[in-house]
Amino acid sequence: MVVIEAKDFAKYYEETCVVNQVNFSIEREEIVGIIGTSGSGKSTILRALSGLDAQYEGQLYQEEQHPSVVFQEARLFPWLTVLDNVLFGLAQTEEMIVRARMYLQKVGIEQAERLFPNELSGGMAQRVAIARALVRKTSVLLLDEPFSALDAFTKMKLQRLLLDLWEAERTTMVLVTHDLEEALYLCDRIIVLHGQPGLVKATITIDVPKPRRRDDVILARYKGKLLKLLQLEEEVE
Amino acid sequence: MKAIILDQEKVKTRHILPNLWRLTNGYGWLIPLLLLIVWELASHMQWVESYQLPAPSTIGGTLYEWLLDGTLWTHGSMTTLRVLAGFFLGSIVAFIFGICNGLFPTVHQLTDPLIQGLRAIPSLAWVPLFVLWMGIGETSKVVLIAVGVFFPVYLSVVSGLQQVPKQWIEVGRLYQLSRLQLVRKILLPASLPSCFVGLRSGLGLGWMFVVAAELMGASEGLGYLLVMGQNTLSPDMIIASIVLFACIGKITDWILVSIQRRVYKGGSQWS
Repeated sequence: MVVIEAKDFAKYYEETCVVNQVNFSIEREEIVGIIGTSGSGKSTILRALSGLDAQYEGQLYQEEQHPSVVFQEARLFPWLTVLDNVLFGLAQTEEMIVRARMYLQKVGIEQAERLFPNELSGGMAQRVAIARALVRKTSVLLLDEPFSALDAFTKMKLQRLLLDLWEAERTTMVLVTHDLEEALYLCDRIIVLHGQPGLVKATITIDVPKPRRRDDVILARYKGKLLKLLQLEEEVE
Repeated sequence: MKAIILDQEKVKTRHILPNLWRLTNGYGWLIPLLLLIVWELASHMQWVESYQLPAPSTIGGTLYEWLLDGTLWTHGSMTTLRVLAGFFLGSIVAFIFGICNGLFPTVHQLTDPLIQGLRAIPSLAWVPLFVLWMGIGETSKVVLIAVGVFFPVYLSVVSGLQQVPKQWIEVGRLYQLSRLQLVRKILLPASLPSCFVGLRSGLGLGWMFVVAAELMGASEGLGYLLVMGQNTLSPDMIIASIVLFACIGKITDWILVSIQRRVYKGGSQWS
């Protein structure tokens, strides 16, 4: 069942076209990656999906009107504790507090609920951001390069965490990233954007069951394919 | 998490002595202390005339006398009350104008040029006009102090609101916050650090202006003691008043900083 659909999506900043003729559809419970070199408009698509940017051309259908978003920076409010950040914008009922604590536990930082953001490491802050996104009862989670500011090991841990959360909740996810390994590890399908303005060059279905091994040979082949599509191959070789 | 708790405990036990050191600013006291000794010595050896610069001990004696005969309380409290009245008046008006200007670009376009224009007037230039309008009593003094306090507070409220990171506002939009909720939950708390900077410099200016206000005619207050000291040729009175200004000013600033710490909770700064 389709929960998100883009038809001839295009975005102009003043006269400049950033993305053009983007068509895709996303099924319920899918994890779909949008990858592309910088300037290909991947974040632009995500901002439109999140509702932060309503000035676009074409059509976007979304079943979930208010999807949750995890940004590259955790965007926690420094004057609120971890728990209050997770509860931000929600009715602070007993039930909600229990729910917030449950998600803090799921992302593995339930002991930190009384800490303030300036007492957290980058990885911990991003865990809080994920908990904050999931605590709202939304069926779609949008992720805008959520781990790109983290070190390699923290990144891998959080990717695994995201996958565990997906297995438990089956939230539909749209992941914008420039990290090919991340996309290959997490996504069922990958939409490859290329050029300026960005055009959908290909949509690749990753036919490997999750959870995947990071050193899977088949994934390496997919990576080769992606590199070729992004025309990065010569530089890599 | 365990590591954090252990750390805090360690910090607690380790800090009792160094805290005293930090509270007294450590090495920062060395030079002032040395100067004080030299000053005392210079007075006693009569390198300087005592009718021009009395010894620190003489000034200390004057202060002690004032403490005993109630002078300190009468005049100190009067001046402090004037500063506080002016500070609250100026800050409240500054917050009202600052919030309107920071939130509504149209209001900003309409009123900010005028406010900036008024700011260019040296505030002491208002003195004759205020005396003419409100007489030489308390009203004109408090209003003069309020004018001094207004500008730094206004500027910092406006810039604090205008500089709230877009990223935080976007989070608010994702939660479909209403305009009022956005102000209450994000804009105001986010601009607090800047507001406190303004309040602190406003308070500092309040102390500056109270001197001017009391010099223009008062029968009570530290400024009055300054004038008295000048008229009775008692430099010890003048310097004792100056010391009092410094001490009370510092105490009020310290109170403001403590409030700031309490309000912030999540660390001393954010942006």
